[in-house]
Amino acid sequence: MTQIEMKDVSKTYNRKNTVLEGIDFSVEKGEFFVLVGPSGCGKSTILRMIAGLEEISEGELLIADSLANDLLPKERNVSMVFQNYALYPHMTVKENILFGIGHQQKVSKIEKEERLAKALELVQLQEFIDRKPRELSGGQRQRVALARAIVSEAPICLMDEPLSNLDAKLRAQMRMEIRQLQQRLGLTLVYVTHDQVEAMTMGDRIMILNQGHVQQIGKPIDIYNDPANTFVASFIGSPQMNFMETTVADGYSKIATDVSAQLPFIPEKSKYLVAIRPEKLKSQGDAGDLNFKVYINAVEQLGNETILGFELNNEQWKAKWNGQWAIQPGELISIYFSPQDLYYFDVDSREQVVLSGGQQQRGEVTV
Amino acid sequence: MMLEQPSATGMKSVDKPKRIGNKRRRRAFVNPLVGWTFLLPSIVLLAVFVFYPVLKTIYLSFFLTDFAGNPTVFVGLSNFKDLFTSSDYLMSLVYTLIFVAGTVLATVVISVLLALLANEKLKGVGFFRTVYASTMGISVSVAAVFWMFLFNPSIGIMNRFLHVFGIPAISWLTNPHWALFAIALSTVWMNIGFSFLILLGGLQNISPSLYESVKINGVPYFKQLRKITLPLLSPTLFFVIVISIINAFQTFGQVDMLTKGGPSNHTNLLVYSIYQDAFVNHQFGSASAETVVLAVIIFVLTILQFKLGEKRVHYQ
Repeated sequence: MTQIEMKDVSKTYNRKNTVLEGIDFSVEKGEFFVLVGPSGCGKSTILRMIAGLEEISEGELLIADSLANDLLPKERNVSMVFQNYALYPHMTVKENILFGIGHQQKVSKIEKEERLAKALELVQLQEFIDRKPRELSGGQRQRVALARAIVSEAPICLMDEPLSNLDAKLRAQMRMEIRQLQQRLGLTLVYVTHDQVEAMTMGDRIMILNQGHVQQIGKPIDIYNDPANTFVASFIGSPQMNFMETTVADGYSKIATDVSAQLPFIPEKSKYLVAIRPEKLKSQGDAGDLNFKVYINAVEQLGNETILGFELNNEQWKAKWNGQWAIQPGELISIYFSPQDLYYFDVDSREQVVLSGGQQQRGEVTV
Repeated sequence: MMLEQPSATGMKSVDKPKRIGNKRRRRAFVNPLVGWTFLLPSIVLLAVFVFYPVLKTIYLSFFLTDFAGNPTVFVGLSNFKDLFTSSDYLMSLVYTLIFVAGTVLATVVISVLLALLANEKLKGVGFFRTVYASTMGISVSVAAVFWMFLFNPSIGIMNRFLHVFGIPAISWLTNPHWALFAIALSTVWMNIGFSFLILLGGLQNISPSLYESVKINGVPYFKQLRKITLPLLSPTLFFVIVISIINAFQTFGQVDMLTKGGPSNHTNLLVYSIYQDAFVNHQFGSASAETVVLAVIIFVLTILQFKLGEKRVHYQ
């Protein structure tokens, strides 16, 4: 069942600054849907439009299959977790959690207490019930904000970069906790983040935005395997995908001196952007692999993997090798890759060149 | 030689710490000197315009003075005794207390309402913010002059306004029942600008996400006002109340311009009464005693407010 749907929505400020255009997507009931993109891409604006905190300039917003454009925030039956948690500094944890439902007369006092107890248990805050927010750590405050969303029992929960104020370790932990919470409560969750790792690890589906336009919607792994365009390709994955402009001749693309890969499609242009993920640049080759030699100019030791930087046709590329490699900058190294792992993008439109006849199956194309 | 050797080393070992000690001693002397030098200008100004007058006032309050204000006879506490038995002074004290309570209450309530209004996201709200705050930029004397016109019994707009509703004209500044109210009205008007501006600043300091959260939960406006806005505004509100009370006690200009303490002392507020005693009647001793009493009242009230405010003011 579709819980939230946006149909051709756009947002314009003062009738001239368009920040969002042609936004089309739907979120299923119980789905964890992530909006991801660089700052200023309009992802928070979409979330705020769903919440009713921001007006919709054009298009339709449907919540539970009924038009919600002009509904007041309170009529939309949503809960929201803010980036700065939006806790009331003068109230205790208990008061903070209950404030939002305190005025609801249809919820009995006993039920409020039950919801409070349940929410506190879910976020593990039972001992802190009488503390003020300033007496809590960042992670605990975050949990109070979550508990506040839980007690409202709204079927839809909206989260606006809820983890960006936490340190890396806590963020990893909260990522898991939020995901578990969402699954346990069967919430429909719309989650905004600029962190591609959060998007990849948490979302059932993700929507990538850039400059007010949807770039791609799909399952994280499909998007990773089959990015629609160079923006998505470079935004998802770390280190980012390697790109290079290549000339095409006789059905082959030139990668390096004496190294050419056969094109998996019939070229219409003489130039394409060729790309490959860093982990697909290997230390050893299999049958059918190509290789080239490069001088390494940067080495990053991460313990479990080694990232090697080198220049190829005036582009800085990175290769990610598993394990620890004792390589020094300046060394000449052979790098292997399979032509199957190459991506081709149109130089002008920056879209991935659609492959004919499933020569390369990387997952479903979802746009 | 044998004897000299140890004594020489002994000298050295004593010498070193001594030099360090000297350095430290010099620093201990120079550092405060530098500090005090920086403080000197303010200390001089404060000494001349605050500390000396305060001490001199306390000193004078125990004396009778001559025409020029020089102490003549030491009378101990009799100046104070006279004050608290003088019906004029007690009346002035009572009227001042009424005046302070009324103006502060009205100023704060009106300023809060205006600030709440001006904090809404409305078209042209910037214009109203400027207008509401503008009384801050008008000096007491200028304001008093045009309030005098407003209060004028025959041509003043106040009476014309009353006339519209069929209410007979009031002699605002000469009727004992209305004079204090008229002074209070003009004072409230003058003080609103400042309190409004400070309160608006306080309101704008409250994170908008708190209101958004409230909106999503559908909390009614007055509950939001009572439970979120006012508690979070409380530090600002507290500051405005303390400052307003102190200011109200020190009201002088509008009294001097509009009523000169009259009619029959009904607007003879404390500071005006001090002024009259000192510079009209040349009773510097009793004027000083009044000043000391006023200072004590303000001091005690302010401490009281801090004690009472502790529990109600939510500092973040």
